[in-house]
Amino acid sequence: MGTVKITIDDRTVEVEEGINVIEAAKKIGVHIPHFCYHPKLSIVGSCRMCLIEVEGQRKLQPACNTFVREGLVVRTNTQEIKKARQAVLEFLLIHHPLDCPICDKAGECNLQNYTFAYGPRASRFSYPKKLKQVRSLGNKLNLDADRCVLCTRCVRFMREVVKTGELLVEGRGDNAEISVLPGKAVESDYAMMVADLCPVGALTIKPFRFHYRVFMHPHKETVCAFCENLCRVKVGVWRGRVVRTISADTTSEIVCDEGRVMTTALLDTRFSPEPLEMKGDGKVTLQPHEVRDILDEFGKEDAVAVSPWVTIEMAQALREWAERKGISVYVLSGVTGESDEISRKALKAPNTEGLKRVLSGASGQVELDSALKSGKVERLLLVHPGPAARVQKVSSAPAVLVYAGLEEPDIKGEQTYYLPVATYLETGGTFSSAVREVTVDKVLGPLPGVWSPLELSEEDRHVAGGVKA
Amino acid sequence: MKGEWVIFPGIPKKDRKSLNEYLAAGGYEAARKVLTQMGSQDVIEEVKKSGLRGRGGAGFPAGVKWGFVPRDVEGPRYLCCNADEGEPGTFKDREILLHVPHQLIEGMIIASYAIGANKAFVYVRGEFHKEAASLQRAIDEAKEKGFLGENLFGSDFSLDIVVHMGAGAYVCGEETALINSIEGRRGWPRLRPPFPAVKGLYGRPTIVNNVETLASVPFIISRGADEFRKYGTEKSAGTKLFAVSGWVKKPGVYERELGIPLKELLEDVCGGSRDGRPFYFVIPGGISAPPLTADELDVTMDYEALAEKGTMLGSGAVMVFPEGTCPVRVALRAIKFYEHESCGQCTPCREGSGWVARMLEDVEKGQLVGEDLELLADVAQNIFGKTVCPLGDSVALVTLGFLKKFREEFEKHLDAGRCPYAE
Ligand SMILES: Cc1cc2nc3c(=O)[nH]c(=O)nc-3n(C[C@H](O)[C@H](O)[C@H](O)COP(=O)(O)O)c2cc1C
Ligand code: SF4
Ligand code: SF4
Ligand code: FES
Repeated sequence: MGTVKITIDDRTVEVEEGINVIEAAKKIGVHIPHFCYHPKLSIVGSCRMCLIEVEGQRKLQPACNTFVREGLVVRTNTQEIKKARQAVLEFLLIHHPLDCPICDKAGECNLQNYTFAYGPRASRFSYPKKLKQVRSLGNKLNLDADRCVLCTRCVRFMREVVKTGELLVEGRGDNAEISVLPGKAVESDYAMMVADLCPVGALTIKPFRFHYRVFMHPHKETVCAFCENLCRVKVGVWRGRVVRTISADTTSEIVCDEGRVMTTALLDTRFSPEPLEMKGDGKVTLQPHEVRDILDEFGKEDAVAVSPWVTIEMAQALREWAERKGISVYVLSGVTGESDEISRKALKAPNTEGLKRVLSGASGQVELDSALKSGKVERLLLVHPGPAARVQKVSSAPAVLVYAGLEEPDIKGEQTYYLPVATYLETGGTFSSAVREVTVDKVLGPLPGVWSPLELSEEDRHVAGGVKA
Repeated sequence: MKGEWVIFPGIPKKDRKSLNEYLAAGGYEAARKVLTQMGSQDVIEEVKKSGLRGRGGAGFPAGVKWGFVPRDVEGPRYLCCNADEGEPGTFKDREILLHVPHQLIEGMIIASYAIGANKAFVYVRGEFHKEAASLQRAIDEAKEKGFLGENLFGSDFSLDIVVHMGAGAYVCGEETALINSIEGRRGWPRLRPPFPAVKGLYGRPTIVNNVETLASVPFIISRGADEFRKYGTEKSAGTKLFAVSGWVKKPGVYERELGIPLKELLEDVCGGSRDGRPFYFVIPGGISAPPLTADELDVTMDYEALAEKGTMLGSGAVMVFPEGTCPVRVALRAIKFYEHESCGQCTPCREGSGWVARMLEDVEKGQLVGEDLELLADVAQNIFGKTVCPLGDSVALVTLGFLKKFREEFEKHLDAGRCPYAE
């Protein structure tokens, strides 16, 4: 693809052919405000927020539909443009309820942000507002139509990306309103994505509605580990809990609903925040030194099984530990499930490729099962920092089972220990799948009782430094 | 007088409704000539030379528009005839559909040939049942005679014409909304570029022309561009159907030369004021055209002269209002229409037309509270030039036009606290 020279606000830049002025301006740090334009969707040019001056054109032009060509000269900040932006914002707000204080989107709303940046100070509209009723669009979404700027991103997303097309615009003029096809509901696997795409607070997610303020919880970037697509997401954390998961970048990451809901709930599935010894129906809390002692017992006859939910860094720590002690290493398989053309991949595990690399000599699930059956394994450390349903089951337990997982162990040995394992959300780390490789920082925690495989190498250093008691 | 009219020669004395009547008057000779003797480029050149401009409102030269269709692309192209006739005050195309439907069909054959379309649509206003039936009858007759269908006039050119009924939305007369509507989509105008000539109906090169524009084409081909140019003015060639309504003795549809003085049209053709009451103002080109006040009536009815006066020829719908008409009321009525017909797609028109309507309502009642005429003008200005389609511009132009020409009347309402015209 070639490049062309264009001039934006007197600065000449070289940009790739075929892009529009919004994208071109982005490259030199100039933001052209817009609502309806979205790189994943067709261009409709209807919000009129992105109007700019194009040399040779009498009227202001929408930047979203102005494509770069050699010698194009545009301005993005003249008096006329400023007035046009004020005009559009004033129009958008005349029937808007101004209910930011109770709106889920407040803090990350383009209408709010643009109004502060470009808007008029006050409205000159003195008539009663036409307000609309909140309505449900299915089991996941609510529509507050009076906050809607009718950018039709939601409609186009459902038609063009998800291709189920259940959303539409009903009515004309200022009665126009987003709606669902008669007899349908938005129950698509990507319904929640439209709330990310909605530039305002018109579409809100039911479980999140009215519960949290986005500006009060820090959002951290991570990935969704629920399939090998590894969508980049942002999670919001509030009082030590993940409270929501959204797309980290709507222009590239179309995150499925399942991934969002599961990522949000991942840590809530943890059976116990403390290490336990499972005794019959009862359980006894283990002290940190007891955990260390249990793991120290591991030796030549023993095994460690690693799930593809383990990060590359965790896998390395486990491998070194196993090598040092002569423990055999097995890699567990992930499970497969539904896939589609949008994002979801069949393999529901984040680090299958990573484990192949780091644990290249390790045996697989079949070998583990036969080793367990033959009774050759005395002790097994099973490390699975993910939901139990997302890894192939181990057939039986040896005499001593140490289960470093999230849920209650569903197989028991003569002695069974539960370690609340740290997930990638609490350690950060690298996942490598057939789709991509990503390294993320930790999002929160880990809480004191949580055990991380990374401790195995730390412990080493402690020993070397003579710190170990 | 240069012989016969372009659209309605001999009518109403000699009817040309049926195929036989039309053939007897030399009908379909132009189509035969084009298909047997002319290349498509020659047709476009002839129409360009004639100076024929679009009769649907914008006045864009028809031949030039046809020339925009890319010559070198494979695959289908389409012609759409715009018979939506929704502009208030306009009722001229229906006369063509009722009285000379074959002339429209012939024009469509020629235009389709010129742009290489084998399928053409006529988008007929939803309320036009009689008109659509008349057109369909003519299409059936033409098909039977072999003037539509395969291998017309022994050439290798084929053409089908499909009548598509609208559902009563004014905005569907806008050419890209019309295209969406034919496709079965919501009647929302499309963003331009791309222009329909390049990417229109079903994503294919498409020409949209008004009924009257297309019905003028057979004359240009059979008599020649020069003959057509004998009518009208240098830049506004040909004749035009004027749909005159309001306070004249003989309202109706009249074919006259472009450039006819408005006063002649009103006084001589339409018999002048109905009861001798002087005219107060005239809307010269459909409701979207800003009004001309009584002392601006010395104007000729052509594209340039009207543009010079800050208004337009539009569809040629002349609406005449006598003294005693409240101009605020007329403006309000027009804006209420736009508010109702705004498709709701783009922000300034969707939100602005209702706001302007509310303010005009209050002005009309003499009770504009908290807002003033400056605000009214500014809101209208905020719509102007910022919308997807020209409907939004009309809201602004009509509001600003009336406000400029009748400012005193607006103020009188506010001073009186009521409409001074109200009983
Ligand atoms: C809101 C709106 C309504 C329109 N309605 C009509 C109509 O009813 N009939 C028509 O011929 N053109 C109408 N037009 C103009 C068309 O968009 C288009 O310019 C015209 O059909 C082109 O044909 P012409 O070049 O032969 O005039 C309308 C335009 C707008 C913006
Ligand atoms: S609901 Fe949101 S995404 Fe949909 S049209 Fe309204 S503002 Fe746009
Ligand atoms: S100007 Fe009005 S009618 Fe035209 S596209 Fe915009 S909202 Fe629709
Ligand atoms: S972003 Fe360009 S008009 Fe909406």
